[in-house]
Order: sequence, then structure tokens, then C-alpha cells
Amino acid sequence: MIQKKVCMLGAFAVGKTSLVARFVKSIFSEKYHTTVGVKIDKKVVAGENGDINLILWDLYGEDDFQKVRMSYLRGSSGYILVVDGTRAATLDTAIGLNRNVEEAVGVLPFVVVLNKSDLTQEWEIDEGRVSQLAAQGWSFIRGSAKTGEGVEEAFQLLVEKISRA
Amino acid sequence: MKERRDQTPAGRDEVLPFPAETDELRRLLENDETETSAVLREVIDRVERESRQEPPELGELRGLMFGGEIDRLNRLETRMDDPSELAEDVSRRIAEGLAAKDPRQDLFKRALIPVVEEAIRDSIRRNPKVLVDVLFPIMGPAIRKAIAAALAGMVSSLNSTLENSFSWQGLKWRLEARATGRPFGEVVLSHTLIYQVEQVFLVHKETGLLLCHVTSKEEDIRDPDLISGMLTALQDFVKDSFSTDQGDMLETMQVGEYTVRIEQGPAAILAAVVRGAPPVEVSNRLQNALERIHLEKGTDLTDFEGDTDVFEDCRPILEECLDAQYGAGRSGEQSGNKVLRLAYGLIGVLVLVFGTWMFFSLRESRRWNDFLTRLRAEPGIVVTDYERRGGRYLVAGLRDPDAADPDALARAASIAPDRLDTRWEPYVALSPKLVVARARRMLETPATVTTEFDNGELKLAGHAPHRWIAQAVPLARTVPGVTRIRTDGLKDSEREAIEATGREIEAIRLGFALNAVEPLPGQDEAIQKLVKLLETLRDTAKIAGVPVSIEVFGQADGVGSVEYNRQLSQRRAEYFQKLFAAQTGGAVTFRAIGLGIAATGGETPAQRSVSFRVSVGEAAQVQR
Repeated sequence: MIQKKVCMLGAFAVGKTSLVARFVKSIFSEKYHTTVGVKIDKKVVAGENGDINLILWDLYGEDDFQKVRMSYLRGSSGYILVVDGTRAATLDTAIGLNRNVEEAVGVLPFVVVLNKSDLTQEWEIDEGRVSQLAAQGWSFIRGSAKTGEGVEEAFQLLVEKISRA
Repeated sequence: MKERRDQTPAGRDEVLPFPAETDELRRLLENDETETSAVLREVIDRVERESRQEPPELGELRGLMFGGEIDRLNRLETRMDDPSELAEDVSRRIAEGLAAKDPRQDLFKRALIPVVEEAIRDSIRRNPKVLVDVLFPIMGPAIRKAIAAALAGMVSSLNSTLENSFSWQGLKWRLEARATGRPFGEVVLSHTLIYQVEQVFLVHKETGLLLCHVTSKEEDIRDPDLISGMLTALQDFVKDSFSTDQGDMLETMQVGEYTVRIEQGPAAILAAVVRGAPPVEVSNRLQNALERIHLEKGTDLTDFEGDTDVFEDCRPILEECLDAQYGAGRSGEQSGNKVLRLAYGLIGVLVLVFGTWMFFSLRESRRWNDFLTRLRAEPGIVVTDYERRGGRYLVAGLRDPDAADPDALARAASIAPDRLDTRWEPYVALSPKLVVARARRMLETPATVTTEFDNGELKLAGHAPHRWIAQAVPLARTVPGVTRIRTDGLKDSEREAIEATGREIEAIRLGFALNAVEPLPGQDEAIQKLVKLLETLRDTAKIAGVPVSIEVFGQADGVGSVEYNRQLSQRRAEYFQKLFAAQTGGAVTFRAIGLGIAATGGETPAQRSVSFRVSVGEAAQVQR
């Protein structure tokens, strides 16, 4: 069985945990986030050469009080950046995080999930910025923890990027 | 030198036309060397210059003459100029030099030492981790070996104490604590230490991904790959939060009765979930396993791309760590118990054997002493030497032939006579018991005669035949030890019988009719009795050899004259004398005495009678 370590990153309350909650196997409680700063889940994704076991390191959302521990990214094959589509600031946080990651562990495959896609009324993300980043090689996927939209695709895409890397 | 120079020019001038410099060269050869070499160099240069301008034929000629040599020279030149070939060559030469056994080559090796040392020093200065990682698989065992050696003495002393002290467990541990001078708690701890390694995780250090996992129980194992990740996260968390030193890592976690031991390697970590208190050996075992994994899977670990299948080979190594679940302490205790049981059994058997042997030995000893006491107390036996050898008894001494039988004494003391060897010298004992015994034997004393001995005097008493008395009394004086004889208690049994019969005869009185010589009829019964008594008397007298005489007294009444009556009484007595003498056949002497008129007077029939008087022995002889 092929195993890969994958991190979930994003600003505070972007819905990282909610996004994957329906799709992953978890044995640890939410408490880990606030104590250790990470919660580990598992997700099996079909790859080209059989199933791939993704070990998801769901990192505590970055906010003013707590920074993401970069040491948790060590050994990661890739990561998912989660952005709250209803809060534009979270995209900035994601950009900042991405920079930190590249400084700490180098360039890795990643996928950005624009969460809360069901709340179209409150959408704040500027499409122009998105297409600008996409031009730099960022992969965006719209997703919703509520509807489950885009989650499988995000993981599938990340696995493809990792296997190509 | 001088002569040679004088001779050669003339000869050479004739054969070869040498350049004009020849003489100059010759001169130079004999002079200063530096000058010579300078001039030579000049000459060579000139020759080279000229040869470059040589005609092509000359080159051809040179090719024909020195072709092989030129090729070789060219090859050599290439080799020297090509860095890769030169490196290969030099490295081969260095390897040969290092491998050579020639002592001169040691110089080469010595020259290398400071270079290598400096290289290592430099490497450590720049990045110590590289060498640490390289040395990791060998450093651990080396350090552990040294520590183990130091501890071995202590442990072995403890172990031997544990195994050799015996008693019930508690008492055993207490004794052991006293014997070894260790605190009692420590001794108890060393016995009761039980632990179980329930799970072992092999985790890739960088990614935190689970490479291999083994467990002692199949049920209730929650996703080990998640646990593995969390474990790594926790390590990072602890390291980031509390540790300043790069090398410090989380080593132990404790939750209730569970302990998680984490052993760090350069590329992988090994985490063991242990129930109970894990002793140091668990860590050692884990370290060992980790080193082996690094050794066998070093490349797989550094080039890890997420494929965990290659680490399936590590499963047996991890399982060995699970096997440690039953500590050596326990098995040692078990084998100790076994040894103890064996020791108890052996001691039991020994005690039984020894006890039995002691019992028989003591009994034998007591019997032997008893026998010797009996022998010594026995009159007529003097023990001069005795010995007990190889289950046999040897006794030597003096013994009176009339003394008690030693075999009988041995039997009385429960000693088998066939195990008794005796050597007796005969002697005569004068103790009363022996004198009596001897006297009885020599005199053939009948059972009716008692014998007593006191202070040299042998006293015989009781009834005995007349003949025995006649023989024994004089013989008794010759018995050794006897100086006097006393026989007043000795009764002649035959003579007493004769006297008794005589008294019966004397009680009989026979009556006569007036003037008759034959007894009155109707007295047949008395006469028959008289005849029987006389027969008894006769037989007894014959056996005893004792003389017996019977006087027959005849009496008459007062009717008639005195003379007539005297004759009549005489005839009456003679009548019976004749009658009985025939019957007794001479063994008894009869005498008829006519007493005349009975002294009582009167004319009563009672006066007309015959009566008897029996005399025995000397009295009988007087009667004759």
C-alpha cells in the first residue's frame, strides 16, 4: 500500500475540518487541534497504480494567536489550502501560508479549495485574483462542506499532482 | 684515466668523423659537472633542432628502427596525461600499498593517518549529523556492550543469589535482601517485574507514516497508521514546545498502566506500547531492532516514497520485540524454582538415606555395646580384645568351658552369630557361679540335688539315689575351687523309701489260735499286703545296695508253761521267717525270735501274735 502524508492548511474557521469530516476516517477528537495543533485523519484515494492511503494532517487554523507549526509539514507529499469563499482575508492568509510552506519545506504539490461554495450570496473572493493565481500555477476547486461538493475532486487532483511531481 | 684519454683520440679520429665539439665534451666530462650538464643541454637542444629539420627519410628510418618503443612511449604519455586513467592507476597502487604486508609500506599508512584524522575532524566540524548517522548502527551495540559488561557482574551476583536462596517466597526475598545488602523493596521489585510489549510501530521519521506494525493481540487495534501520525505530531509538538537542543526527542509517554517507549533512529523511529513497567532490556531490544532495520533497510528509508510494502520484511524483527513480553526475571524464577525443587528433593533423599543409615548404625552400635556389656558381665569370660570391622564383629579373650555360650549372648543382643568371629583361650574361673556349674557337670548332679557354693564350701542338698551319693561325695572334693563339702541337706531317697516300707511292715501284727503255729484264718488280706511290702522292700534294697534285716517276733499267751510258750512263740516266728525268706530270695535277712509269754500277761488271743521290726543299713548289719 502506498501511503502519503498530506496536510490541510488554512486560516481559522475556514472549514477545513468540516470539509473533510464526511469523507475521512478519524479516531481523534477536535480537542487535538487546540492542544497539539494537529489532528490526523485518513483518506483512501484511488490512484493510477491502486489505492493510495492519504494520512491527513489537519493543522490548526492560523489566526492571530496561533501560527501553524511548520515542523508538522516535514515529510509531506503535498497539501490542501482551504480558503473561506465568504471571507476574502482568508485567501491572503492562504497566500501567506503557502509562502511559509515553500520556505520551510520547499515547493510541494498543493490544491486550493474555495470552501462554502453554497453560500453564493456572501461570496467575497474576487474572481480576478483567483484567475491571477491560477495563472501562477495554483489549482482551485470550489467545494462545500455542506453539500460535499468538490471534496473528492480536490483529493483526486492532489494525488494526480503528487504522482506527477 | 689519463692513459685512456691519450689512446682513444687517435683511434677515433681514424674511424668516425665526430663534430668538433667532441674534444670539448671530453674535456668537460673531466671538469666541473654543472658546466658539463649545461654544455650537454646545449648540445641536445641543437641536435633536436637539427632533427626537426631532418629529411623525411630519417623519420622513416627512425620509425623502422624504434617503432615499438615510440608506441609505448606514446601510450605512457597518454596514461600520464589522462586524469581518469591516472586516478585509476594511482588508486590501484595505493590500494596495493595499503594491502601489502611489507613493513616498509607502514610508512605509507602512517602518512595517511593525519590526513584521515583531519578529514574526520573537518567533517564533524561542518556537520556532525553525517558521521552520527553513519556510526549509528555500530555505536549503539558498542556502548551497550560496554555497559552490559559492567552490569554483568552485578546482575550475575544478584541472579545467583535469587536462584540459590531457598525458602518460601517472602522469606526467600527477605533473606536475599539481607544476604545481598540490598533494600528489600528492590529485591521484591526485581522478582515481580512483569510487563508486556503489546504493540510495536515502525514509523518513518520524516513523514510520520507507518511502515510496519505488529501487535500481540488482534482485537481492538485502532488505526495504527493514524496513531503513528499522531505520535510523530506529538513528538514534533514536544520538541518544538519544550526542547531547545536539536538532539532531544520525546522518549517515553506514560498513561495509566501503559508506557510508550520511543526509540529514535536517523531515518525511522520505533515506538513500543508496553503494559506494566518496561525494564531497560525493552529499550535495548528496541534499539537493537532499530539498528538492524537501519542496517537492512537504510536505502529504503532514505528514499522512501510512500511504499510501505518493502518494510514487510521488518515484521519478524518487530515481532522479536513482542516476544520479550515475558521477562527474563520470570523464567529465571521458574528455573530457580526448578532448581530449588530439585535441591529440596535431593536434600530430602539425602536426609532419608542419612537418617536410615544413622538409625541402623546407631542400632548396630547399641547392640554391639550391649553384647560387649553382656560378655564382660558374664562370669568365666574375659574380653581382651574386640573390634567391629566391615559389618563383622571380632572378639578375643579367655573363656571358662563352663561359662555361658557367647553365641547365645550374641543372639540375646540381636547380633547374628554368623557375623561374630570369636577366639577364646580356655581357662578355669573360680567365681562361685562357675564352680557350681563345674561341680554339677563333673558330679552329674541330678536335678533333685541343689548345689550352693560359698567361700570354698560346696553345699549339696536334696534327694539323690543312694549310689550317686556314695560316688559323688568323694568326687566333689576334686572339683577345682571346692575345698570343703557339706552334705547334711542331702537325702538318700532309696533308704527313705525302704524305711517307709519298713514302717508299714512293722504296723502289721498277725494273730494265732490257741496253741497254733500257723496264723488264724481270715488274715489273708494282711498277709497279702505284707507279701507286697516285702517285695517292694526287696527290690528297693537290691537297687540301692543297702542291707535290710527283718526281725520276726513270736509271742504266746500265758496258758501253759513258760518254756512251752517260749518254744511255741519261737515256732510261730520261724514259720514266718521261712515263709518270707523264700520270697525275698536272700535280699533281706530274717531272724526269728520267740519272745515267750507276752509281757502284757493274761490269756487273750491278742497275746498270741507275730510282729516285725525292720532295720536298714548299719543297723541291719549289726542285727546280723
